[in-house]
Amino acid sequence: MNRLSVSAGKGRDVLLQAWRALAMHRLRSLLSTLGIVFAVAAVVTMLSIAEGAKREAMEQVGRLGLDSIIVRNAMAENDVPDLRFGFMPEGLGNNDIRAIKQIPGVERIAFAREFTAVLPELGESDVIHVLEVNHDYFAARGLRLAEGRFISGIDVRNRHQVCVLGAELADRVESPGGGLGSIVHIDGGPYRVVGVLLYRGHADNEAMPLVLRDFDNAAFIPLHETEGAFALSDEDPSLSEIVIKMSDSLSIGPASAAVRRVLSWNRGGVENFELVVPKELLAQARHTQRLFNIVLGSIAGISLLVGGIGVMNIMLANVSERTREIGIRRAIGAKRQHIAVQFLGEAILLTAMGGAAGVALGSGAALVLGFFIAWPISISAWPVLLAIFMSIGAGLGAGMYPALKAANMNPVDALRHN
Amino acid sequence: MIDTRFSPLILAKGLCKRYPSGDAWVRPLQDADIKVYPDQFVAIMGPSGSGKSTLLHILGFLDRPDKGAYCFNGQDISLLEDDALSLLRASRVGFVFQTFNLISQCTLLENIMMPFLYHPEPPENAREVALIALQKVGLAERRMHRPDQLSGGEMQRAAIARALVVNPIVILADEPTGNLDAENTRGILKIFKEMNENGTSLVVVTHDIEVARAAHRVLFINDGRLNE
Ligand SMILES: Nc1ncnc2c1ncn2[C@@H]1O[C@H](COP(=O)(O)OP(=O)(O)OP(=O)(O)O)[C@@H](O)[C@H]1O
Ligand SMILES: [Mg+2]
Repeated sequence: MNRLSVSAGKGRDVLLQAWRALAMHRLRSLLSTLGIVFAVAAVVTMLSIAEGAKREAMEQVGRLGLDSIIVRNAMAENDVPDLRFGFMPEGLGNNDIRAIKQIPGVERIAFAREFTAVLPELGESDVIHVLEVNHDYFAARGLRLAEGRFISGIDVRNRHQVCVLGAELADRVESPGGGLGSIVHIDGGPYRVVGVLLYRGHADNEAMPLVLRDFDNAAFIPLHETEGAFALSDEDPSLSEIVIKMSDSLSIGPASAAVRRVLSWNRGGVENFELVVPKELLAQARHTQRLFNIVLGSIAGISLLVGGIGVMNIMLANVSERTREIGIRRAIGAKRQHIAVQFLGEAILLTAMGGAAGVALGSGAALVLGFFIAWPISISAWPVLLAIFMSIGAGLGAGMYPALKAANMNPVDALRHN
Repeated sequence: MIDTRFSPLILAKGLCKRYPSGDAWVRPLQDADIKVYPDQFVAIMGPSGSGKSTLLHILGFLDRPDKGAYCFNGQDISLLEDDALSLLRASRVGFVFQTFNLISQCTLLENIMMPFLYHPEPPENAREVALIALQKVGLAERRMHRPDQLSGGEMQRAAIARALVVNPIVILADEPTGNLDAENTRGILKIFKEMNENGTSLVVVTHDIEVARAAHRVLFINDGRLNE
């Protein structure tokens, strides 16, 4: 028999013996490990939730592109324009686009004008959001197609009456034939559906409130850049959003400052717009994440410490109750190290089982919590690995002193104990 | 090389052991000498508190004498470290106690196999070896029982199986029949004699005349000394 299988066999024996010893006092063992269970469960729950939120935030920011700057009309954000009085809030306009184009590093500019309209094809004659966009808009906002095509430059130039629908809106439209090629009426005008977007999911969550629109329920039509009823003019700045793509993400910082400056200049200092810089959001998200991790780490550390003290307490009781057993084992040949390993093994088994229970409990809690707060949950391997390391570490820490105490007992005194 | 057949297995001279007791000292061993040759069955008798257990603990390397020399199997024990003594206990010595001292949370078989946990070279078929040892003491069918499901005589037989499972060269027994009736005592004695005939030396502390009669030599401990 080779040495490896001998030590494997001994490892199994140690575990079995540890299990036997713990099973002697089931309730006591269970109670002593509760602290670890809750510490690990808390960490796994919080990490799963944080990880889910982080992933979602990163994905959204990533979709926006780290090389982009989004300018939004701030008034339009807060006040729904009252069209009955023909009142439109001051928005972004052609002069803004022209000024932004002068900023070095700006590669492309996409823009959108948002308004609300009635879509008779919707059974409930609901009001929907319509975005008039130029053809760059889809790429700039990272929108993806489920079927069909986006609005093209040709559509924009030739004033084609075409539209692209968000995924949920497309589902809700009850037109005969439905989907691609069907005709929908936006503010009375007929538009042919040429594309349907991929479902994005309600992105209106706490993590990223600024960046997102409910694209799933929006309709997109070409924004005609010249003449006509919806033409862009300097006198009627009516754009609600401008998306600026930079040639590289390094110049984002100075470029966003420049954008802010020129827009402010165009408005005589009135800041009725807001800048969304995904790169900054990402940095902010990372910073928040770091803070969160520190807080989480401290909580985990404290609860682990408390849990560990509980385990140490029980292990000390175990050692003193089994003094005689220690003497017997020494008499039949156990070295000090055998005794230490035995009690250390018990402590680690105790905390590892607590850790496993904590992972199960924490994952369950995260799923339930995620369901109720409609938050994306991500149960990945590393919180589980972390939890395992944590609980084994706690076992080592809590078991070391009792194990050494057991190992250093005088064999004769231990045997005479009782 | 020493021919171990003719040199003593246990050779101790001038052993002293004392414990503080209030202002004075208890001196269970004062200049005690003992010699045990291979294959011998030695009984040690003496009044309670005379130092019999103390002597046995020293002979089994569980304790060290305050003074005196002890050679086991030609090795000077005073030169050995704690781990080396553990190794000797694991492979060369078997202990049997008055109170059996089986480990209560383990089955009989696990108890019998336990010495192999600490043995330097456990056999590959440890389980079979343990079963054979249990068979020798007539407890093979009880292998899955816990110690508290056994009678005193059975527990002591199991304890003997645990002592002999590693095939030690000497068994040190501390009043092995002290808690047993006459019939069980005879059973234990029979096992001891068999072991002795198979070449295991025995040092047995006892109050029992029957046990002393079965021994080759009887030593009496008095005032910390041993007399034939
Ligand atoms: N750790 C100790 N501290 C103080 N005194 C001790 C210690 N160990 C043993 N003694 C004393 O040493 C003396 C001898 O003890 P020992 O156990 O060897 O006696 P014994 O001959 O085995 O007695 P018995 O027949 O009752 O088992 C006793 O008086 C005992 O009280
Ligand atoms: Mg005694």
